[in-house]
Amino acid sequence: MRRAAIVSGALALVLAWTGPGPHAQESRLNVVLKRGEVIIGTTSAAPPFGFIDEKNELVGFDIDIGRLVAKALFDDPTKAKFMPQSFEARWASVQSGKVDFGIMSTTIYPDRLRKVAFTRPYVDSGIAVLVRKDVNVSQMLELNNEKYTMAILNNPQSADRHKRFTPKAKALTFDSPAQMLLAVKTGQAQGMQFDVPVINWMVAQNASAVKKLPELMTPAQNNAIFLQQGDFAWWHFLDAVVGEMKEGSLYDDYKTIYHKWFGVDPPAQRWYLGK
Amino acid sequence: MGGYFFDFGFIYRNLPIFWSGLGVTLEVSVLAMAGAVVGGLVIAFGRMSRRVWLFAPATAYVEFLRNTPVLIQMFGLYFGLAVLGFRLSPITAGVLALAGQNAAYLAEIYRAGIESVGRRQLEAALALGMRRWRAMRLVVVPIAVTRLVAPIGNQLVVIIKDTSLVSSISVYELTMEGKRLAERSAATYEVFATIAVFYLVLTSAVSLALRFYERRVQLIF
Repeated sequence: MRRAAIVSGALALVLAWTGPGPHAQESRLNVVLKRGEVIIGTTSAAPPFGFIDEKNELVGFDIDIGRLVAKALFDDPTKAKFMPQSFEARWASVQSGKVDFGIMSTTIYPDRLRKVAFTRPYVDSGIAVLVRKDVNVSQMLELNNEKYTMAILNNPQSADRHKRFTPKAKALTFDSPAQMLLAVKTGQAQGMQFDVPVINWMVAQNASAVKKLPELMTPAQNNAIFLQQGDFAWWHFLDAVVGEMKEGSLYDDYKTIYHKWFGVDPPAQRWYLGK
Repeated sequence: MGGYFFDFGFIYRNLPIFWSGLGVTLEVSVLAMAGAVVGGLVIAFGRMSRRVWLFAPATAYVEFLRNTPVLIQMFGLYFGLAVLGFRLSPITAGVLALAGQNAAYLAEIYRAGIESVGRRQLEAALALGMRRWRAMRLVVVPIAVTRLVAPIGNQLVVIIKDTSLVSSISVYELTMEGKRLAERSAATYEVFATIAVFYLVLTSAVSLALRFYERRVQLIF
């Protein structure tokens, strides 16, 4: 009798393990709604997207966009819990389900799309170049010289741009824009390339030591929210909310946030209507 | 939702990147180990000296370097010295930091080993008419070495693992290459599992070599 009970119990467990297919799995959307809070992976090392301010609080454009998503979920922007993490931890954090989604100055690339899902972009940012003022350079072309060293981020697209625009200069690779700026300020490098809003921020904070060059390395850089693959309801919710921010019912909130961090208005709500 | 697809083909396609990172990791490891093993010996004799002008700086060195994080020391050597006009290359700064701190650890390991040999062994050797240095060289150090192989081996393994920190000052070693690959591809699990295996092979090789050596010295003495 007892053995039969154990065997049937074990069988039930096996069935419970293998039985229900993916259809029975609950969408992350419902999990989040039931939990009453959304957990967001973000950066604290890339102002003005995400950083710690003088009051020791996590702030930035990405943080405010995350709050706007919380508002869309719960009618309450404070129901967002932010998990600051390093850039190399961002994929595993969504792939493992530790966070519900990530928003941290992250660009869409086809290779990345094989392993994670992205919404449509919530901000378009180009790549600008910053140089030390004591280096007599006024155009990007002049940096293409053996005597210069550029600080770049540890990712292939950064290295690709270095090879394309400044192949003769040496490259030093770092994990965060803060370290790159440190290398420029200490003289280990003469210049660095990064997203336009970050470069603008750095120049504003260090105006006596560094300046921005007029040309961009790339004019387009699609930054988007990323999440685990294979959850249509959750992906659709986030993607549609981003759509509403850029050209629908959330545009006013989006415009306010955009202006707050970048000092300019976002692209028009309807491109064909102009301003 | 949707199970993660672990792509072995991805690892195979990117093996050249892992190899090149492994080469740099080996280079940094070997240089840092050599520096730490030799530097530690010098400091250990300073620590055991009865002369204050040797003992005091050796002690200060050990206390300072053991009690601050090696990453901070690395930043100090790389970014800090640059402000003062000394521009060390990333590899030089990384090797110096790793060798510097581990020399302090090893000095303490050597000292503990030598002092554990007991005064009576030394006194017996002196009574046989050996001079102090000869007694150290022929009696105390050989006995100490047999006891020290295991703890030194541990420290060498620590050095290999700590080489991953030099990626933060722009050295293209295994972790750096892996992080960059993961950055582009979001193939986090494939990349970090591969890196872990590479480190495991490296550290196991060192452990095995030392165990072999330990068995040999035990046979001799």
